[in-house]
Amino acid sequence: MRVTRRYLIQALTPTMLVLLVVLVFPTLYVVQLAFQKKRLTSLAPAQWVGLDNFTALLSDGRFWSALWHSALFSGISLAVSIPIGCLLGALMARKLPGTAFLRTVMILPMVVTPLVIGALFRFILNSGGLADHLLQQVGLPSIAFLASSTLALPTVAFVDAWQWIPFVALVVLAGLESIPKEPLEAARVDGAGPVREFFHIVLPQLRPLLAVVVLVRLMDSFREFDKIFIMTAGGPGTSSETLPIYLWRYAFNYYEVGYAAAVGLVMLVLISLMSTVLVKRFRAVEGVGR
Amino acid sequence: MRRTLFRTAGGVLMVLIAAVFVMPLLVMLRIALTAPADYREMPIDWFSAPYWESLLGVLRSDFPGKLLNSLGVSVVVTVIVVVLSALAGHALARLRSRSRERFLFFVLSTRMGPAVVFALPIYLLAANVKLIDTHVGIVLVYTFYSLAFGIWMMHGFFLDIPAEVEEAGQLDGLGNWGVFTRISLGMVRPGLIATAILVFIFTWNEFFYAFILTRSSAATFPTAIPGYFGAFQVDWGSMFSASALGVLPPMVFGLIVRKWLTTGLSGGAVR
Repeated sequence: MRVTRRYLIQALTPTMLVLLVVLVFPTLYVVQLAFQKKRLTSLAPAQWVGLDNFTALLSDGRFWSALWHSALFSGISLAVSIPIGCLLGALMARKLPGTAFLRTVMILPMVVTPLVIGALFRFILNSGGLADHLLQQVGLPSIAFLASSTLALPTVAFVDAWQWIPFVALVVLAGLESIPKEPLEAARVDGAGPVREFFHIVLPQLRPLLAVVVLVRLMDSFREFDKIFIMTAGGPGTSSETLPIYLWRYAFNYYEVGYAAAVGLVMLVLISLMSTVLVKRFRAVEGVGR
Repeated sequence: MRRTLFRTAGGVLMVLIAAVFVMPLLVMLRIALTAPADYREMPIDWFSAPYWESLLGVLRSDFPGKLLNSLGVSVVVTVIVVVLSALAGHALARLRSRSRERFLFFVLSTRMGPAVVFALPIYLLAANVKLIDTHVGIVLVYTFYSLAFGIWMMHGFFLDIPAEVEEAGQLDGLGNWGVFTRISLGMVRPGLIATAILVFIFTWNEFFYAFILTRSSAATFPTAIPGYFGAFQVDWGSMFSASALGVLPPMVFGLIVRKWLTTGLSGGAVR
């Protein structure tokens, strides 16, 4: 249907107004703050300080380690959730008994409040908790999952993976179900084994969908705050402090608003780099899913 | 015979995998109904009599008020977002594809920003206009938080309507608005419901904005959870009682819209 310009304006104006008020203003404000020295606790007006916040940022070892922790968190979460999710999706596509039940159950981690999931795993992984007990049952020494500065971050990343494996699996399952059956049958007639079948026929058709999954997971894990906050709050020390936690500390614990805004701006730049890739991929798959 | 064996083994495997995803949630329920003295009792005693005091304590505290806030805020946000995104989604779906892509890119980019980055300027602006800890303030922020998602979903549903249907309406003398309200909206009803429920779930589960922008009178349920973690001990029973009450609505709704959940979470890439 062709629509009039008037209709477009009328239908889009309310949305544009909301986005203007709650998106454009705050974004411009972040940019402004990033070049100012402003403390939340002092009444002194903000001072323009040029690039001072950014130079301070770049010379702060804690910033670099937060960046590294973010990369590590996303890396581990994706490295665990994507392969396992794919495997699970492929398994579910075999329509074994119990698949319908599993399909229903897997919805739950995706919709349970992430903060609650964090709290739940904090209980399970606490020293003397359920995980420790299970380790003792099989004769292993207990592990200080959350109290160890080397293990805290990977542990939280595993919990993130636990929450999102179902998402990956269900997307892969949907993808597998939409793949046309003829090439597979032809390959079987030609005597291709299941492994060759997977790598030569299934995987190439799933690739655009997988790209979307990887990028959505990447952006979400990069933003993750709730689970890390409730499980370790960045600790012990700063050993599991990712960029979102680092920003939150500076903004709302140390009240260094200008500095935190600079961190935020760096995060926005990193994210827009990732999202450019993401949107390109979205266009690439437009024909696939629908 | 071998085939039966194989299928049985497969079924057992499926149940085991399901257990990996369900067990933690069952632990939550069990500990919610366990006396404080037994929190550290391992293995968990699944069959001892439930201890109701923590749950009753939570129900007598200000927690139900927070649940009510969550409900009110989520419902209002859902209504606003669904109305706005139905309007914008339809207009976008009828735009020429170049302008549509440009607009969608903008809409999508609003969804990429992490809450931690936007919470800071929003906090300062909200403090200036006295919107901290108010329902209006948090509703506005959550509307923004879900609007891009809603538009993205709805525009996809409107694209699926065959052009002839709307054109037939125009031939019958309906204007753009007439076609939209009398024909198109009815055809995307399942999409509207799916979008509404997903927006409700996302709003209900959001923690960071509520954590920063509310104190007490507009505080939603997740903001209560950190309060149960004391400096020296954790009130696990109360914390899990509150959590269990809080995660019930998204779980129920999640099961209702399970078909659309992957679509929603993948930004519409999977249908």
